[in-house]
Amino acid sequence: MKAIISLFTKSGNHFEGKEDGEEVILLLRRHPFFIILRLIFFVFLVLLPLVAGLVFSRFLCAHDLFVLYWFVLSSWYLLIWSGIFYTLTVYTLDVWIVTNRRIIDNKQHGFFNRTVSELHLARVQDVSVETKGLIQTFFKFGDVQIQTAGANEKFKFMQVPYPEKVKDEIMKVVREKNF
Amino acid sequence: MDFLTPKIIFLFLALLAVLVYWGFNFVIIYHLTRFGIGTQPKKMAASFLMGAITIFVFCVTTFSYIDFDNLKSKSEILINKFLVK
Repeated sequence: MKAIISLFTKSGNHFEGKEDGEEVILLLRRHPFFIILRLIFFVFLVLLPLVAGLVFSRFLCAHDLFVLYWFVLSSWYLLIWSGIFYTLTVYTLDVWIVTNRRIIDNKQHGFFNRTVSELHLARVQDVSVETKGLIQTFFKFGDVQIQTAGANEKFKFMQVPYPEKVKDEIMKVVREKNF
Repeated sequence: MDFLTPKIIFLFLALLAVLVYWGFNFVIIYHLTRFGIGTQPKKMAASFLMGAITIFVFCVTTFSYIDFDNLKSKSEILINKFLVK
């Protein structure tokens, strides 16, 4: 029981492959704007059977089909509930981690499709920020691009909130690490 | 093959759907607790599990209230009614 409770209290920012003495400085995900857009679609799916129920209420009442309606409604909500959490899971696990030693890009494309790449801070050369368009400017998010010492290698944090602050933080960590 | 009545086939399919559903849910919970960083994904997994159990219980309860014989006769009446039209 203690082990189960500790899952919610003691894990901190621990991740798989974290080295001893490694400290998480930034944990970044895409801006919530993208997940909110998807959740709005799910809200529409939640409302759909309720509207259908209201439209066909007289028919359902006349033929005594309300129990069947409740069953179909609950089955629909079961699927939507899982759909919502599938979307949230992929969003939550798609992260960029900046530690005091390296930068980790954890891309979750689906449940069993995952790409993890890492970059040591010593290889970071340049960090640039790109904010494109009205939505990105208004909601304060954008891309952070990290140029590495390799030929054309680049690390890109896509649509992260407050990209300038992220850039400053990365540069600060790189400076501390290299000097 | 006498044991393969429509009722048995229906129950088998229902059981299969339940297994697939809970298998999918297990994968969500597994990913959130194993790969999630920090406590937030674990809390999310817990709320997902509680919600899924609640809706599942509601679904099973409503399913148990369905009178399939009555439904069959009603569907025949409705089909006849629409076909005559």
